[in-house]
Amino acid sequence: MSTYIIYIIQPLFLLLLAPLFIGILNKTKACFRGYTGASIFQLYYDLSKLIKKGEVISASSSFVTKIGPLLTLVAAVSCAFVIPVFYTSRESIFGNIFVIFFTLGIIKFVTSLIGLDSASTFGGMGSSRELFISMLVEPIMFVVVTFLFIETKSFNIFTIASTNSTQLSFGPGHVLAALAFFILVLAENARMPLDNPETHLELTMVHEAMILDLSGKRLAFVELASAIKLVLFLTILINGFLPYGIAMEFNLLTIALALALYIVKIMILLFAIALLETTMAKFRLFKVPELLTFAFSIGIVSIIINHYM
Amino acid sequence: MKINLLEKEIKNINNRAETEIKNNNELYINTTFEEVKNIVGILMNNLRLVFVGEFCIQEKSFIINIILTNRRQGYFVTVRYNVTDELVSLQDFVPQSNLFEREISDLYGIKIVDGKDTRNIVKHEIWQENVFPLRKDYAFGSKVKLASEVSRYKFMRISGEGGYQIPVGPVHAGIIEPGHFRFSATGEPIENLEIRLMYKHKGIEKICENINANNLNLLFERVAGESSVAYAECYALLVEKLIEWKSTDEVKAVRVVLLELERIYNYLDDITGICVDIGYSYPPKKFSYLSEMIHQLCERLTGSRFLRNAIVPCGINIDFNEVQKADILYTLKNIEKRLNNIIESTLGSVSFLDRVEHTGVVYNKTANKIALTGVVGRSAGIEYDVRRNFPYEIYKEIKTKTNTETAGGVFERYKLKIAEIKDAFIFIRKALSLIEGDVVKNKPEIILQDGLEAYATVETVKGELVVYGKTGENNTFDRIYFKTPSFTNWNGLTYAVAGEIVPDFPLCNKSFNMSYAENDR
Repeated sequence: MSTYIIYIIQPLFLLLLAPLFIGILNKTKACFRGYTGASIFQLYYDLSKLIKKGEVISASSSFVTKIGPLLTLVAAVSCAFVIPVFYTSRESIFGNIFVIFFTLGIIKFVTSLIGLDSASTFGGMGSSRELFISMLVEPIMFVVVTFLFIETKSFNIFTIASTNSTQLSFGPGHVLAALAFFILVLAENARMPLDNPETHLELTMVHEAMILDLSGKRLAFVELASAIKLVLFLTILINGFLPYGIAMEFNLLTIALALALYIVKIMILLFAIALLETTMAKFRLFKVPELLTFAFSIGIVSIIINHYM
Repeated sequence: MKINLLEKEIKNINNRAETEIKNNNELYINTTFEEVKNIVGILMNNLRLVFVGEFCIQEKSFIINIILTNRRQGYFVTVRYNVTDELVSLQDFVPQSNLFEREISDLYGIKIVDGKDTRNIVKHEIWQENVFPLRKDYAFGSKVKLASEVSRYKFMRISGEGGYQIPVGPVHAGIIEPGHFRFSATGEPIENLEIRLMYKHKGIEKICENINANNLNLLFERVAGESSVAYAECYALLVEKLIEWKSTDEVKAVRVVLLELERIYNYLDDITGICVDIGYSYPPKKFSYLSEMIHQLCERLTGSRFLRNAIVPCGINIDFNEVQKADILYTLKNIEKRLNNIIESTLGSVSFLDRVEHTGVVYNKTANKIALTGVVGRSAGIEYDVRRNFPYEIYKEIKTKTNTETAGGVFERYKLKIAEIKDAFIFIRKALSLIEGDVVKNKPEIILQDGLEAYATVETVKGELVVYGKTGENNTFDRIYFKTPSFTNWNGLTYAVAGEIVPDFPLCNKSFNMSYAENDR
């Protein structure tokens, strides 16, 4: 019975804190650049403001714009319920890694459709770029999943987390695969150096261009979905590759410890992203494939290394 | 060729043309409708003069003036001819002349004969068809009605598979002025870019004709806020040329200090923009911080963050003494080291260099063809800086070389802007060392004679500004014409982005950073 409670609590924890993590990321970036920056709760304020606001829907858009934003949110939320955050078990009936990735894929698919649906040039441009990037990202995902399967003999993220948390040492292949997955996280979540989440220049946008025509609560849904998506990916990265300290049994001490460790790990990742986003320029669009090919290659190399070592 | 030799040469070529030299460096050639094309052709092709602009004056009839300059000797040549309702198009051999001709055509109602491009430029679709605001019979103060009478503007189209158009603006995402960009792209590469401006035509030239010369400096400063000092300086030069006034060295030096302060904050903002547009977010925050320090210094000096109402004809409108001098030197010292450190860090960043190098290239040939000026022109190897070629104030002594680059890309413009900032530091220090004692606030009353005319030119942050002024009755001007640098340099951007990909456009645009207000006037 108690395990069922934890399966409810941990996704709720993730969903509620996702905007906070984004706030912390932005605050860190502001600190690096030497100004105060917005409050770490800013995204909550923004979302509550957007939900109260009225909205304008383009006359040329169809039902896709009407239901699309909700679909992205639903996909993000439901995905949060099938991944381990700070508690995992050896066996689980849900948590198939393909289901997770394809559910996350729905977000991307629907957002691209929203971009095309408003019939504005920017939306179409954004969708075209998003699909161009995600086409190159998908192979990385398969390579990384293959690596995890070879390492843990499982496609279930709960089993992967529990197996890897008991492992005492990892080979170089593990590090390389983690790096490949980190690049995938950046690409999937429209972070630098592949996309600039802060830009106001429509012509350079990728993710933002697709949602330019949304407003009000629909924009809030998409914003929340993308915040959750980033935290989901980071959580998968943590629990797939560095799940040390994740709780395997239900008692207060281990849970508290696991929670603390999880927060520390996610802070480190956010710190790394903030560092990347302040110290380098965005890549030229046609240079993005080079980075993604690099990620794919180290993914392959990690599998080979793992086989021979 | 010296200006008086040129006058003789013109007489030899065409003895029907009347010539006259005014103000030592201005040659006026009166010719006719039939012969103008021939004369301009000879002046440009054989005598190597550069086309600057073209404008119209209304006296008894309309007079079209074509401005040419000899950059090496530093003089102006004006070729003028009378017209009734049609003007001669020079578009066959002066590519950028279409801008000037279309402007005259819109504002004076003079048709262009056999020009390739005769579309409206000032008049947008919403204008009235038969209204010509710069004509004398158009009453000052009356507003153009919004009547939607003008025919639809035709953009260039591309055909073929995968070709599409991206309309951007006139309302933009940033807090900037209006301008419409029409991209024709196939996939990401830009095939063609067309820029449509003049959304905020303010009719400043008309207002100038109706303001007392003693207050006109304020209006000049408002043509383009970011170049307030340069415009005020240009007005001062114009008036001083007309009444043959010589300022003291101290006043000249203070003016140079102000001009260079303006240059520093503008170029700091420009390089900020270049970094921001590629998402390189650490350095721009620091650049803006330093730029703000300069703005605050400006406010302490003149009471205006944009140094307004400081330079006035025949004098200077601020007190300048040891306190100000020490303040400037202290602030510059404070900024210089930090600035150099941040610039070093940008030049050492691989991801930054990867974006700016070989991007947005304007070749030397193109730049010469469309006569780019300022940083944009110098980045493409055009060795032209008004401060050197038409030296004013004390630039003759302090500016000893023109900074140029050859490749003409974004990185070259970035480097040049940095070089100009560094030069500005040197110039300010040199100018300050020339100021001995206090400079007292002095704004003499100016009285202009009727019927004089002159040109003045200044290097603004965007490039070469040429102002023509002709005095009229009651201490006002009968005609003021601004050939603003942005008016022609905007065109360079269309060449810079051709072949680049759409997401690189903002970067190219920021490296030009042309002014909309200045273009629209």
